[in-house]
Amino acid sequence: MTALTPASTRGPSAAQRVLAIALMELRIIVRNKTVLTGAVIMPVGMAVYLYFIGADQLAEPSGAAVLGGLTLMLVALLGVYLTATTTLATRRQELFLKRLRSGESSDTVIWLGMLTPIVVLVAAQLAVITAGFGIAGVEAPAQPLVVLGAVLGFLALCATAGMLTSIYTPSAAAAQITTLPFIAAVVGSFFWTAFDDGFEFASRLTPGGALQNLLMTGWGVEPLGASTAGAAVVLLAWTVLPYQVAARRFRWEKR
Amino acid sequence: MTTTPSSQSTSTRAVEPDTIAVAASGLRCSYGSYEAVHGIDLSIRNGEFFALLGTNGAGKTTTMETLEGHRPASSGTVSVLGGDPYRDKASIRPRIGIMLQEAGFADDLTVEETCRLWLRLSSADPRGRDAAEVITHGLDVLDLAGKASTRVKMLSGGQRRRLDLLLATAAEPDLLFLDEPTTGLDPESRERTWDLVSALNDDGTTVVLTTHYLEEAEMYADRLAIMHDGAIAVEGTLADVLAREPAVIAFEVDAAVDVLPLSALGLEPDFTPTPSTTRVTLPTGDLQGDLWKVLSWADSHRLHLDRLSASEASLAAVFRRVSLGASA
Repeated sequence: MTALTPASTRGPSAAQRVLAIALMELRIIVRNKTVLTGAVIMPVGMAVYLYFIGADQLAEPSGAAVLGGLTLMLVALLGVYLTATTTLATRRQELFLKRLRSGESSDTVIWLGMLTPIVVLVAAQLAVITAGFGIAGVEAPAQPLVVLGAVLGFLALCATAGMLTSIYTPSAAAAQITTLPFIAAVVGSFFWTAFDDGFEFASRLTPGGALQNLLMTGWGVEPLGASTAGAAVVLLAWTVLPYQVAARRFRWEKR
Repeated sequence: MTTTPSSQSTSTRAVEPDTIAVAASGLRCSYGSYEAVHGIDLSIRNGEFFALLGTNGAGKTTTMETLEGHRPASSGTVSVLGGDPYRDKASIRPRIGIMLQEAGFADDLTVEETCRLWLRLSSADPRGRDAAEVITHGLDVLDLAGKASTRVKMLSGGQRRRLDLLLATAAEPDLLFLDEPTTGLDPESRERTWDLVSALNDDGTTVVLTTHYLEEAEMYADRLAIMHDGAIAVEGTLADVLAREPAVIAFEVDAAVDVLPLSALGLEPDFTPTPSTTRVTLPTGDLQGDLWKVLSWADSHRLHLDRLSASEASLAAVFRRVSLGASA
């Protein structure tokens, strides 16, 4: 039996492979006008719309936090969650995921490569929207690092939730349906937290609740403290849990 | 004219002859409660061209995908290039090329972009060529040079299959898995495919092939196995396999003719009655001698043998018998 001695050990690093897949995915997004419109133009348009319908309440920090949360949810859920689900389902249907897996890249490299451009694109959109809100006079957050952490955590959550949802999504068209429950759950839980219904603790364990908790702290509506750390842990858990399930049950080829 | 690897290079292969490239012992593969492969044993030497044949659903692709490291074995042991193909993927994959039975591309990329992406994900070329050189050479060999700027979604099925082969062979691997590589290809493309694969094999690459084209296995494989119902029914060189298969004499005579005396000649005929004739099939280990007996018998009884045929043992006959469930 031959020893396990590769003829050549010179290979690209994991980061180089992630970059190669990410640039490929970005190129495809740019070439596909429908995806480009859905992932870039629509979320920004929705942010502008939200600003105008809520402009009278934005002088208050709580109003700015709610506007920030709604904008983040809309942009991230459409731009990251829906796009990640659609992209992974499409690449699986094309059998391109199977092709990538037949090469030297690890599963993690392939996932990161597919999801990174989606997250980076949306992060760039959010940066533009944030600048726009700043120019329009929306109250700036008192704790910008908390807001930044909430934004990054929520983007990661949307990416891993997209991974998980894609397992149950046989095609790009089906993503319009399969993503609805999670979108409804996140938006619903974001608003649920605002109600004084005796279930505040439970509501803060939801992804939307944790997000609102962090944003309210970020805009100084609630004090920085143990509940902030708790919300961060909850958001992290909602990011890691879908990843763990998806990594175990991920489907690399169509049925 | 195609340019093949052996015509361009001196061998850089790090394999030793007469050592084992692929080994499986008691390999079982299951999907839930369904067991697709029932404990097979395999041993493929370095530099060998091995063909794994079988009917649809025989377990070939499951076996191949397990050997490639796409799925773990349910039980038994598997060794590819000295390691476990599933657990030691990072060490083994740079040395193998895989052409899956069915794998796609990102349809919005061009052929050249697809190749470039693949090379950026793969280890450096063992001969130190840069990506542009590898791509230009591969596209030329597989007659895809004119399609370099074409988006993959615009390619025909045969062109996609050739692109598939290009990606699997670009790095001139030590071990090449080919799962039905010529399905859907026209004769010229099949010829190009085999030119390329044969040249790699001549240069030391071990080839493991599954195909439904038995003549390809007959022509190229050093050894072959035929799988049926999740198990290996026949294995050996083509000569070994055919040596166990009888030649066949077949003919038809009028239904009124008494064919039973054929048994008295030391032959073991099978009789199949039709409305007006009797179809006689004679398996034989001595085609010339038994054909002489049959013709003498017919001549002495002044019989005309309709649809007379005498055929040597063939892989197709072995395959047919195995696929009907008969033991080899």
